[in-house]
Amino acid sequence: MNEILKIEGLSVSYFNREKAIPALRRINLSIKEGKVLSIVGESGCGKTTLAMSIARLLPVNAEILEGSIIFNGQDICRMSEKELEDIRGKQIGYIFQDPTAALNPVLSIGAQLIETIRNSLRLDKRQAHLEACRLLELVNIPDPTNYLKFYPHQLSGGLNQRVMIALALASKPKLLIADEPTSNLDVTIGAAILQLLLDLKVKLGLSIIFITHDLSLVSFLADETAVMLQGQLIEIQETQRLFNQPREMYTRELLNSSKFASLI
Amino acid sequence: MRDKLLEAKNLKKYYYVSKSFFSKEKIEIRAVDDLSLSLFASCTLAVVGESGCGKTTLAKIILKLIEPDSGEVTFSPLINNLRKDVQMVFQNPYNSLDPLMNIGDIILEPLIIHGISNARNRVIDLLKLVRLEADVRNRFPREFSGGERQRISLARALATEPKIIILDEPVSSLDVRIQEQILRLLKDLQLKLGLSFLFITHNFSVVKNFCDFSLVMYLGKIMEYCSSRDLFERPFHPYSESLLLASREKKTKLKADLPRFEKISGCIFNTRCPYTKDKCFKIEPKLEEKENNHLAYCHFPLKKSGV
Repeated sequence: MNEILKIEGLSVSYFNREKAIPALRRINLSIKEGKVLSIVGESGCGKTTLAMSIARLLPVNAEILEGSIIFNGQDICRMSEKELEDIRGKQIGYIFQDPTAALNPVLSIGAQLIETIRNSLRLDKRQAHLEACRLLELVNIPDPTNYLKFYPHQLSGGLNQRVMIALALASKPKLLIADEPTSNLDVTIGAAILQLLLDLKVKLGLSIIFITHDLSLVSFLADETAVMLQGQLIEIQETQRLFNQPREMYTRELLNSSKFASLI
Repeated sequence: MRDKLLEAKNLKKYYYVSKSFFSKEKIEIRAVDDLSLSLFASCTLAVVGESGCGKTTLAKIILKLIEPDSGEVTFSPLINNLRKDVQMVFQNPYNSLDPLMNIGDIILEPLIIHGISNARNRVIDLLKLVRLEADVRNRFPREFSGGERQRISLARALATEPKIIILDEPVSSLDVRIQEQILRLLKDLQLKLGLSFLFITHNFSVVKNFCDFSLVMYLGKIMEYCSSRDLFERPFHPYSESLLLASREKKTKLKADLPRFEKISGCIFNTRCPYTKDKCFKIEPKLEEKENNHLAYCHFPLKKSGV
């Protein structure tokens, strides 16, 4: 099976006035088409920096020191801003942790969806409207024409997260990066979002990078799981094998904490 | 039988909001609806439910931060000063600590307010109790991680030697490893100091390892009220069952989201329940004792054991 994304020897550091703070140290990983790769680790281990590097959305005080991120045969690290526009939000979709903060509060759901759709798909308004309805249906929002009129503050966190997913899917991306998409949500709503991601993976043949601190979520979703600790990738295995025979001590500890804090 | 520290009877709190910015039509939101509970000494009572079910309103009523529309909260004579004996730890450790005060002053403040002697030494003891070094006193909240901040909040809550601590989702914004540390710390402190906790959470997982009794809330009402053990082994209410399933297997049987404003006739859970029958839409069930000390709000309590 084809690799959709391949990261080789990626190192990223943050710089403040005095020193460099390494955030990622020589990360190697790859994800195959139609598979889910999960990246697990504590807060501060560099999970989000990794996701942001793939999008080249790092803050100005961060720098990619070495390595390459090959997506579709092209190196994202060496792309110009113009070339990146074609990748960001188009070939790679993003879902962020806090849906209410990621959506524009002064635009209706419909306006945001239609803007995104027309930006990438060249449809007229009416077609874009229909496409928006189709996307909302895809993420299991009933009665989409009605919901298009709503503003983000009128919807619950779970519904907003579904809208975020719909937005991410608007341009028919091949790869979806989900950065802790359920950790701000209730367990029941979080479970529904996980199910939705799994359905979409099967239905659309999406590849998903799923970032989380909670191993218990991983076992239901990911084909492969990578564990990060202090900017390094310490273990990457098939998910079931990782649960049964973790190689690293740290992975074992993380598993125990997840068992204590959740019911796996 | 342990001492009853707190008893709440038939609490009601309704809010009224406008349907839209211009409309005069008001919608009634039942944040807490006819809710009774009791908390025993050295025990933990879990209040479980999704966001928007009224958990935090309940906590505020108990702390007398807001007045209930009807019903009352009575405390045992052991609790003579509410503000001193009942403390709270908030969900978000990033905005519940004053960013301009150093850690020493944050913990000192309640000691001074309640005129507790030997306050400065007590601050050091408190830090030790939550397993922080004594020299963190001169540092500021921004220098600490989420888990450490939550310990500081806990030290502040413990300062006045309370009997009851209300924990409002104390671990849900932390990552799993820190969650475990904080939960173990809370358990230790409970054994050491004989504290009672009212533990508000949306996560069932925490309940199993931590809480003696559980109260499952939905739209301001109690769905199920029993020992945590019973709840895990034999949930009677379909809502408890689905929360359990969501925690355990990350699956959900529930339909749609929490209904917000719609008027529901019959059982308030009927819009999401996977097992509805005709009766559920016509007659509202009552919270009844279905078995020994196991209360449920359902016409057709589940019979099977476990999920």
